[in-house]
Amino acid sequence: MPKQVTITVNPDGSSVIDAEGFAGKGCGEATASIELALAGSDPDNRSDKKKREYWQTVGGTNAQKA
Amino acid sequence: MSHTTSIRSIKIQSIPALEAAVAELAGKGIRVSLISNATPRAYYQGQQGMGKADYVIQLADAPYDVGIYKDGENGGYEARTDFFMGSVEKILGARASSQEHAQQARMGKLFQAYAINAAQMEARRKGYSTRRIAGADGVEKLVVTGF
Repeated sequence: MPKQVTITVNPDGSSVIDAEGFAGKGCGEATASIELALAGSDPDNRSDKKKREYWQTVGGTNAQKA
Repeated sequence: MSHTTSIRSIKIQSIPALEAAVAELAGKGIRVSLISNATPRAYYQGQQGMGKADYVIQLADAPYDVGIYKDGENGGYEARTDFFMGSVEKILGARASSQEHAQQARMGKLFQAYAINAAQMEARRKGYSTRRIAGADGVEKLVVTGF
């Protein structure tokens, strides 16, 4: 699956950023600046759900949650 | 797939994105304009919290405007208006998708237009490709590729 980020913005302004096709923590780097542009610097203004692939390294082995 | 982030409330930080949002609302038939260093109209003249603003979103079809004020505490800007009699909500409001977003929904069209433009500008600034898709029920999507 190609690397892709989809931002969905509802009519009330509520927004969801979905990263697909990334292995490991590369997705966080890809979306960080967009998250900052929408939510500002307050970490309480966003919530993350990590998907299974987040815990995989580029080589495909599972990493332990830090 | 990797992760999903939900944004609780949109924080206005980019004036170019705000300008684009206002232009987009105007393109949809809302009689709206953006000016700087002005006092938004409110029920009372000199109304508390509605003094001179950095920017004002003028609503030609409402008796009140939206003031965009620098947020000295958290950075960026905050949007303030007078919701008396629902005139601003009638123009800019949207149905809230949840109780959590009820307050933002009162000016939902503004926040939606701002958010999609802010995300697009940021993605392009980083050199990514973007594609906007108008979804069902007024949902806007931005697909970012080129990572």
